[in-house]
Amino acid sequence: MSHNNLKIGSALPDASSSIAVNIEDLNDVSVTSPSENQVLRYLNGTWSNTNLPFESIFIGEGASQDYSTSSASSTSSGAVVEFYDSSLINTITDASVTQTSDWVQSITLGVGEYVVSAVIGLTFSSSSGQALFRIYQDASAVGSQGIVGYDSQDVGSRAEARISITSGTATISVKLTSSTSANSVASQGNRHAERSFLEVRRI
Amino acid sequence: MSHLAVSVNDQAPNLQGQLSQLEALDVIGEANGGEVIRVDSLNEMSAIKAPHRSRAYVAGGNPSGASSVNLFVPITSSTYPYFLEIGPLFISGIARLSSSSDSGLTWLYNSYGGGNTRYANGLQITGSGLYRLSADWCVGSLSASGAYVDVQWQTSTGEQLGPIVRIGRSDEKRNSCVGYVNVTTSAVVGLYVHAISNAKYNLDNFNDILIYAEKV
Repeated sequence: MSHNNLKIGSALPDASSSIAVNIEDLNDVSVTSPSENQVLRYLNGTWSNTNLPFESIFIGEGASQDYSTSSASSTSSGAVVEFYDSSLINTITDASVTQTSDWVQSITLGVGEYVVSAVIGLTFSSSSGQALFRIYQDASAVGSQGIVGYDSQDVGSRAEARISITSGTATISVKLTSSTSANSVASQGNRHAERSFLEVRRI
Repeated sequence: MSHLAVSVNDQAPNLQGQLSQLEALDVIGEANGGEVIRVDSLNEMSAIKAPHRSRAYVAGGNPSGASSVNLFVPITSSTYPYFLEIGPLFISGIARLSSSSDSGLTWLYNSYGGGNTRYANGLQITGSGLYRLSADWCVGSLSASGAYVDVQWQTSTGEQLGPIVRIGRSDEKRNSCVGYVNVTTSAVVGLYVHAISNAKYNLDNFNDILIYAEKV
């Protein structure tokens, strides 16, 4: 047998039959242009270099944008709440965001542990109006509920959830679970886009 | 040539052609539980504990009486006149809020009284990267009920970094202000003031303040 037929991962012997094996020579390691402070992380069957394992999605730049420009069809209980951002942040490498005209309807997350937070800013026709909302993992409500009311000081209560995805993917959305005197989508105005956010942090 | 003449990472196979477990040549040291393999500035990899992320804060500290003054914006003498003065790092040379800075994160402040009184009002970020910003704050306890200030994380060039948040008295609704900034080389960020209503600043509720920035 010739030494030239020997190979460990991608490492080949030199002229003296010595094989120098670096970590990137292993079959399940893929290191591409490593830079300072990157780390190796195991994902989808491969170890690869990546930025620090703190990844996040943030939607909610605070822009003035009328909710009527979203694709939402209702502000009644059960309706999906959309979030506006013309340049959203997404550093979760295997996540995808579903959006139309910069309005986000849902986020699809892969295997991992996450903390999801949401604040909504829908408006109401009555000073006693309010809505409750929760984070949904696929069809199930998870975590604590948030509340939004008539006055802008009543915007800021968060719905929050810790989500564990052990296999496959999950779709994350925010839905109203109760709604009293909420203005219609066409009459919402800018407050929701100005004061809402949806944040996902992988932990 | 026999295969027994082959060596791997300077380790020759035994007579049965077996090699003991190899260590990658470009990874330095042994890992302990919970550590990760990180690329360092020399482009070498080694096992370390959780990597450091730059972070800085201004937080509650040493109160100074119950007197109050009206919040006012713009502060025409400030370099960043529309940024909220978060609170006093010093008053007459006495530290009133605790704070920390870090590599690439430096608190900015307005100076009064010959520099002995310093009110933090912004954060200088140097170095590229993504930073998460959060502010838990409240208007003074001597403000009228329902008093508020509307603030939003912005850069000094007016880039909006998160939602507008209405902040009231500490004994009323507590809302946090969150933002993210993606920095190319450097940036100055602060809490841009959109509106003020009957809000006062007073010196006895420092414990309600936590402003936090973290490179993510």
